[in-house]
Amino acid sequence: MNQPRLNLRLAASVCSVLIAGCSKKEAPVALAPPAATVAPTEVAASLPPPNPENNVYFGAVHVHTGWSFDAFTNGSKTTPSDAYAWAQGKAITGSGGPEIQLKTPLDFYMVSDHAEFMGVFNQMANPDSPLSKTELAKGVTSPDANVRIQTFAGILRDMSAGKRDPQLTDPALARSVWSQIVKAADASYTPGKFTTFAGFEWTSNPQQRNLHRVVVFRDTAKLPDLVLSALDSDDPEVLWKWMSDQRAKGSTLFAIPHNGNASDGRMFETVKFDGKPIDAAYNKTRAENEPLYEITQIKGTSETHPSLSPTDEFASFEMWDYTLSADFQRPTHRKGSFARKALLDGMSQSATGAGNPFKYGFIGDTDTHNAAASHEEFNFTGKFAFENNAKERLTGVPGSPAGQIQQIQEFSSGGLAGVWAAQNTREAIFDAMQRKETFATSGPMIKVRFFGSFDLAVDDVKSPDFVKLAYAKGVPMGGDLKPGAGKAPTFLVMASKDPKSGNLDRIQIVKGWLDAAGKQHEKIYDVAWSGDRKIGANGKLPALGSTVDLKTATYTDATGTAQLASGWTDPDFKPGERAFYYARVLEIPTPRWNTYDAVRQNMAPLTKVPATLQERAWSSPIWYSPS
Amino acid sequence: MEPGLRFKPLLREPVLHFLLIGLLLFVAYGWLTPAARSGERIVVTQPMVDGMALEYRTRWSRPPSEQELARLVDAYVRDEILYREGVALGLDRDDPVVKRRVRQKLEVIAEEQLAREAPTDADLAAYLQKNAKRFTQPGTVSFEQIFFDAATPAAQIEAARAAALRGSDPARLGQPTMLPPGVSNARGDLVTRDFGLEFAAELEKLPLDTWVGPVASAFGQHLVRVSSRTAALLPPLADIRAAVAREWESERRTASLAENDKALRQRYEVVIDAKLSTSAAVR
Repeated sequence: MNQPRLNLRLAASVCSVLIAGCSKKEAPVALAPPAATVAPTEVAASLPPPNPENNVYFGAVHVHTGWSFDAFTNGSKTTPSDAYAWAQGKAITGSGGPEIQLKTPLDFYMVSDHAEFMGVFNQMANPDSPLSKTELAKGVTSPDANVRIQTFAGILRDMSAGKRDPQLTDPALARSVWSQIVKAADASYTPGKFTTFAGFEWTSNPQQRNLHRVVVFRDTAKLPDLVLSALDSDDPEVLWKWMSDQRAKGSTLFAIPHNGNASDGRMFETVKFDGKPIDAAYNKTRAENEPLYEITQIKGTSETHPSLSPTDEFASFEMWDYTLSADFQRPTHRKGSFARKALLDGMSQSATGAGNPFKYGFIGDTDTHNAAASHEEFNFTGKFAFENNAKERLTGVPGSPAGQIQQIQEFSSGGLAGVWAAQNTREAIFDAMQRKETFATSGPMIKVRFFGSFDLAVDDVKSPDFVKLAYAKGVPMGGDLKPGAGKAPTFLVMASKDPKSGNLDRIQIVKGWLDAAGKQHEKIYDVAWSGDRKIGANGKLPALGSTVDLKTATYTDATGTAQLASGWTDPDFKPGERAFYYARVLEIPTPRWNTYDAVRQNMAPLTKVPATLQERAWSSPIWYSPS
Repeated sequence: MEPGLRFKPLLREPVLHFLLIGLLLFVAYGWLTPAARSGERIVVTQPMVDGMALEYRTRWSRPPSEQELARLVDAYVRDEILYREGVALGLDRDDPVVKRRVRQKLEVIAEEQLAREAPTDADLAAYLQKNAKRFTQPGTVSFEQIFFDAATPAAQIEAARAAALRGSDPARLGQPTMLPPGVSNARGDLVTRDFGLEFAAELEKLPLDTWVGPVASAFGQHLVRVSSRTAALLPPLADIRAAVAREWESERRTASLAENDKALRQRYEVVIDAKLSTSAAVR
C-alpha cells in the first residue's frame, strides 16, 4: 500500500537531525567542486617540444567510478576526481575501506561513467545556474529545512518517475552528471604531464550479449549536452549515427568496443543488428567510427580462442568465458567473439569489394568500477568496490552464489593502453589512437616498437637510428603497407620489459592471410627470444620454465631478458595475398593476482584459476593488400 | 449478568470510541486516496510526454516523430505496469539494489543540506600544512645515459666513458635500447617507472656534469651524466589552490556524511540478536 505520509515524516525527521549540524544558512554546494573554485587548467609553461619519433605513453580510458549506477550499487564511493587523483599516483580511499594507491603513475586516463540524468537537481542548488531562479529552486533553497527536504524528495521522486516539471523544460537548463564528469576531466588535465579525456560508455547488451563501446572525445571544446545511452538504442548503427551527428556539430570522437568474448559471437558478426548481411556502407561506417579494439581487460582477453587457433599454445590466456547474464551463462559462438578471427573476417569482407569493417588497432584497458584501473598484478584492487577487500576478492562476498564467486576469481587484473604520440596532450594522444599507433598490454608497462617495410633490412633494427629509419622507410603499427614490387616485407620489432614486472620470454609475429582461393590462414612466428633456445622439430620454441615460488609469490630474473629486438622478413609471403601482421610479446611466468593475495592474506590458494600467468603485449596490426 | 446489559458500559469505553474513530479514519483514507486502491489506472500527462520529447531532442538534435514518441510512451507504460505489479508482490522490498539507490538519493539530499561555504584561505592553508606530503611535488632530474647490456665487459664501458668525456657523440657509443637517451626535468617516480628503482636511487648520488658509471638498472648498465637536479618542493598555496580546495571539499563531504550517519543512527535502537562468531568463517 502506498504510504506517502510516512515518507514525509521520515524525511522530516531526517531533516531535523541534519539541521542540528548547520549553524547558519548557506547556499548548498553541488556534488562536484563548484564552478567558482575550479581554476583554469594549469597551462604547462614549458610544454616539452613534440618528438617526431614519438614517445610512449601508458594509460586507460575505460574506467568507472561511483557515479556509474552499477558501480555505486556495488559499493563504490569514488568520484571522477578520485579516479584522476589515483591515476596520478595519489592514494584514494578504496570503497572497501583501505587506501588504494598506484605504484607508478599513468600518463593519461579517462573516466567513462554511465552518465545518468540527475543533474537538474544539482544545478538548482548552484547559484550560478538559471535553474536556481525557478520556483522549484526556492523550495530547494528555503530557509525552512523541512520545506527543503520535502522539495528535494519530491523532485527525486518525480524525476525517477520520468515526470518533468514544466519549469524545467527549457533545453538550456538540461544538465546532467555528464557535465560534471567533463568538468572533472578538465580540472585534472595538465598538458605535457597528464592527459584526461571526456568520454562515456555506451552499454549495449541485447539479451546480455556484450556490445559495449567506450566513446572518447578529442577535446572538450564542443561536446553534446546529453550522451547517448543504451536505453535509447542497443544498435551500434544507431550509436554511429549519433556520433556522426556530433561530428556535424563540431565534435571529434571515436568508439572503442570491448569484450567480444562476452558477446556470444555478436561483436564481430557479419550481419547487422536486424540480421541482414553487412554491406559496403555498414563496413565504411564501422571502420570510420571504430579505429581501436580493447583486446584485454578485467573481464578477460579476447585475442583468440583455442578452438579458433588450435596450434597457438598461448591462445588460452585469461579466458573469461561468460555472457553478461546474471546466471553464469556460457557463450557458444566463437566466431564473432575474438579479435584475430575478426581481423581475418575483415579481410574476407575486403576481398569481396565491400571494404574492411574490422580493421582494428589494439589497446588494453581495465573496466574497473572502483576508479582504480589496477593494472599492476601485484596491486590488483578488483573490478568492483567490494573487491578492494582482498579477502572478498579471493573468496567472494559471503552469501554470493558459487558461480558468481568463480566469475570474480576469473577476472584479470587490468590491462593498459600504450600509445606512441608526439607529446602528452589530448590532441596528440587522440590522434595517435585514431591512426592506431597503439599497443595493448595485459598490465605491465611493456614497450613495443613495430614497423613494416619493403625497403628496410633486418639489420636496421640494430642501428642507433633505427626508429628514424623505420619511420622514414616504413609504416609503424596500425599502418598499411603499400604493395612492394614483388618483394617480401621486412618487419622490425623491439620490446623492453617493465622494471616492475618479469623479464621477456619472446617476441612473436602473428600473421593472418587469405590464400588465392580466399581461404583464411594464420601462423605464428617466433622472431626473438631470450637465451640460446632453438626452434624444435615441431616448429615450436621451447617454453621457459617458471621461477615462481608459489609460497612467497616471488619470481627471479634468472630466465628471460630485459630487452629483445629483431628484424624479420616473411618467408611465406605471396604478393597476391591479403595479410595482417602484429607483434605479440610475452613475459616469463609471474604470479597471478590471486597468488599474491593468497600469500599476503595467508589464505589457501585458489584451485580453479591459474596460479601464474605470462603477461604480454600486442601491437596494432600492419595490413598488406595487393592493390 | 445478561449479555445485553454488558453492552451499555461497553459503549462508553474510550477504547471502543478510539477503535471506531480509527476505523472511520481508515475507511475515509481509503476513499480519499484513490492511489491506495490497486493501481489499474496509468495516466501519461502532457508534461511527461513533453519531457520525453525534450530528452529525445537533446540527444538527437531533432524532435521525435510521432511514431518514435509513441514508442517512448509505450515503453514508459510497460515499465510502469511491471513496476506496479512488482511492488504489489513486494519485489522492491529488501532488494539491495533498491536499498542502495534509495540510500544514494538520501545521501545526495544530505550533501545538499549540509550547507557549506567555499573554503577560506585559512581553511586551505591549514589543510595544506596538515597534508603537506600529499601535495609535495617530487624532485626532478635531467640526465643523459648510454646503455650497455649486462654482459658487456667493464673495460669496454670504461673505454666508452673515456670517449664520452672527450666529447664523442653519446648516441654512437652504446647499444640499442628503448630507453630515452636523455631526460629533462623528469620526476623521480617517472625515472623509477622507466629505469627501475635501483637506477633511480643511484641517480641521486651521482655528481653533476660528468660521465660516470656503470650504473645498474633493470635493463643492464649505463653511463650517466646528470646535468641538473631540483629538490622536492611544497608549492605555495596560491599555485595549487584548486587542487587543495578539491581535496578539502572531498574530505569535508566524506566527514559530513559520516556525521550524518552517526546522527541518524542515534534515532534507532539497533539490536544485534546474533552471535557473530557462529556465522563467521572459522580458520
